[in-house]
Amino acid sequence: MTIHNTHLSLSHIQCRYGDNIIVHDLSLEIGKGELVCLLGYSGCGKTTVLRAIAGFEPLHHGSIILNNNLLSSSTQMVPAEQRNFGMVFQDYALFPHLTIEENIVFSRRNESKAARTRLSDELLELVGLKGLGVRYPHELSGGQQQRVALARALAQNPEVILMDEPFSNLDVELRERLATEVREILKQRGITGIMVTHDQHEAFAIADKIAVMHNGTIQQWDSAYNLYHQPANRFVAEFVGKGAMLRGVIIGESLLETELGELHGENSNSLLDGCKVDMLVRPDDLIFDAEGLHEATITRSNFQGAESLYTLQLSSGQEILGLFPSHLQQSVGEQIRFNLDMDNMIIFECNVDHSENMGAMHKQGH
Amino acid sequence: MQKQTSPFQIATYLMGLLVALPFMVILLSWGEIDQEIWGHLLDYLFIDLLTNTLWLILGVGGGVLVLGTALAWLTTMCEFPGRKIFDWALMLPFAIPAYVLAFVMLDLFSYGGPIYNGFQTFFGGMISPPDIQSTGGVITVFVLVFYPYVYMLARTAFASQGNSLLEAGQSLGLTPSQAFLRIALPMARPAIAAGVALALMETLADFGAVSIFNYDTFTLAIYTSWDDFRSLSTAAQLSSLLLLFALLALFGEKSMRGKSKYHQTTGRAPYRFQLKGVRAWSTTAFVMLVLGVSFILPVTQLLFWGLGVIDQELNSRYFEMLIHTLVLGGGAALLATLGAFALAMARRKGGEWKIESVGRLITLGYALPGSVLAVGIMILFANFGHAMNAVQGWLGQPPTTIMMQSVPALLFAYLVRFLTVAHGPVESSLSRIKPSMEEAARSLGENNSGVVRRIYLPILTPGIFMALLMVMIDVMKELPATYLLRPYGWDTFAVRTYEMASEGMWEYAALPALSLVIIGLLPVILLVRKSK
Repeated sequence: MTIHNTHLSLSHIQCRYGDNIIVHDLSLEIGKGELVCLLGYSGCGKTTVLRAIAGFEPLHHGSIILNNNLLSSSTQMVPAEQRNFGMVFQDYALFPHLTIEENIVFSRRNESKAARTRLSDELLELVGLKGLGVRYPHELSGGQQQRVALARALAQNPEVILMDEPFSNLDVELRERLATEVREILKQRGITGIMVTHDQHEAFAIADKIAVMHNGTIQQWDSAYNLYHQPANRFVAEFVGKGAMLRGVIIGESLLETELGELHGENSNSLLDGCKVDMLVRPDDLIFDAEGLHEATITRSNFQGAESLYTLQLSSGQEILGLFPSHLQQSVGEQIRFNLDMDNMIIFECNVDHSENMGAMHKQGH
Repeated sequence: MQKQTSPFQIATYLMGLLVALPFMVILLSWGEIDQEIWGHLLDYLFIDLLTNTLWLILGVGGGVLVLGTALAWLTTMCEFPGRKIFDWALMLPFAIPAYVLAFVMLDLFSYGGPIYNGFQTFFGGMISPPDIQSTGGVITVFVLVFYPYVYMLARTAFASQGNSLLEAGQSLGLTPSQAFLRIALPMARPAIAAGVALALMETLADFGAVSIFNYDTFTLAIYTSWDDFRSLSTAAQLSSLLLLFALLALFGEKSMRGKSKYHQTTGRAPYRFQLKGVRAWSTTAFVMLVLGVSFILPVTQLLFWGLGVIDQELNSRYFEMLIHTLVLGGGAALLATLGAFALAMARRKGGEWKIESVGRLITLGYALPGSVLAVGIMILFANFGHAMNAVQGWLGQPPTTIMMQSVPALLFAYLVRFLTVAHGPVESSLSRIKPSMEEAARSLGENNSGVVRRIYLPILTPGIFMALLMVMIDVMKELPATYLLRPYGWDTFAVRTYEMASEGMWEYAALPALSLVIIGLLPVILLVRKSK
């Protein structure tokens, strides 16, 4: 995947706090108008990357370049206030002593009062808060404050909008709705956006591309679909979506022997015959079929509305997950039959360190 | 990016030194003991000092505990006629300095005063009125002046408990009074204890009231050993003993204050027990009596006296006192607020253990009773003067006199004592500025000076104003340090009130006292508005 007009590029950046390396040799190329997401557990370094882009964290190695202009390197740093990057903070950081309107036009103080009011009204309407400009931040709900923070960042016509866990203080329903709304607004205006989150659903809702981060490095830089269906390594496979690992042995090219029989599938692996592996089985890889090839005992069932998520025990004791239509109404203890339907097998070599082993398996073309 | 020592940190270390010096001088004062004075002290006074101080601690501590807690419970958890007004009015006695209530009481009970005459009329001289110049009288005055500390903290504690816990208690079979004893009271215990400790610190530091009542305590003995015997070392040694009591109270307050945070729950505002009939009206009468004796009576009496002499007393000397009071209050307020700002900024940026421990040391200054502080500063200035003269003699220059009693000495004392007062509001307004706000302003294109001008200053202004006001008013009311350290001719309202009162010239004490009460009402009004 190549990007034709790179807007923002991070190359081999490293950030440290004292002797602690927080971000290590991280590179990203982001196109104009793209919406990307840094996804990972807290402490993985994702916020540090965002703050480095904003100009709040110095680089120890590497560089950050915007439109061929150097923003940060180990020796140089354009101050945050000269970057014109809009930032939406996790706690929104609205100024408590200013009204909503004054907050929004904070960056436009050289313009006339009328122009500022016009801009504020326009942005308030865009984010669905028409008429609230005269209020103070503490008079708004969390979701409303979040929208004001976005409007304030948009008011400066930013090169790039940076969002640090922007929805984490909101309840789940509002979170996904707002994520979709924010995506529409940014797309409509063609603004490049980078968001940091630990919530994959939020990332799926907003991002064109997602960088899954772990221990200060990028594990996979891909679309949501590929992260789910073609995880580059065991960490990504376990972090994104649900699933179980089924033990197996390689017995030939594209052929794997498991408890569920010999499985065929396309895979690009170069593992030798006889190699013990784990195969990723997603809950939606299992298709309910009363005449199905495989049988298992239901040990847990979790009703989710349209579907139910079942935990199934195979005869060996291994457990896998199955997502079946909720009409089935099977209960715990019952036997259930199913078929496996996998486009491609995702397998990881056993007994090797989690994150390092799979680089070879799914080389994503950058 | 390496860390540099910021100017705020340097200022903080400097203030730490300023606070530590008087402490050290006082605590290290035992090198040279004046046998003659100590002999006199031990023979005649020392046992009295100790027993009187213990009586005060027990009496005032118990008194404010019971009165403050009871009043807080009544106004937050019960409904009776006048409750809404009493709820805030009971904080008004904060505005009455102890020495003012003391001389008003002394007059009321004195020979020929209204109470004395009342007893004569009703009992025909069979029963004489109680002697107010006694342990009981001193304790009563202190309880009436200092109960608001307990009242205010307990009131907040009760109000923040919400009623769900009391309802839980009642659902488990407790009557309302059992619920109070077994649930509300234990939960409010840290707040109440903190209030009692504050009241005790003020009691131990008091000089004016005990002096007017001629009741021997450490503050009085410290003053006497300096004023009558000119023995700074004895004054310092007595000070170190008083300091021990004060520090004990301070640590009590600090540890309790910390605990009270864990006991706060949120919930609906409490419903109130509806008092009816005799119980309701006797409650109103009781609360009215407390408010009447502690506030309405002294203010009325002061007005009565003050208005009688206003023509002759509202003269150039009054305005001179006003200016002195304002200059000292304003100067100290400015210094203390600047200091508090530097301390708050240093703690915000640094957050290191060194700054934190210096910060804690600085807040200890509040525990230094004014008289102890004055003695410490006099010793410091005297030693500094000796050293200067030695150097000048060596250089062949004529010696200059360093005045122990001077405006710089006073400002030094006020800074040490009241920095903590300024620190509270400054820090709480600074804590409104989250680090992300500064970054937000930068990402919106503001540089350093823009961040200070458009974010820091406007958000800090109310807190700084509050700090200035509170320190200024505390300094204006402050008596012992001002009395001991003021340069010749620098009379303030507090000094004038005390001097006139201790000579028994109530009318002449009334006008400055009334001025102090009116000034003192300002922060109480702010407090009342904040607590609503």
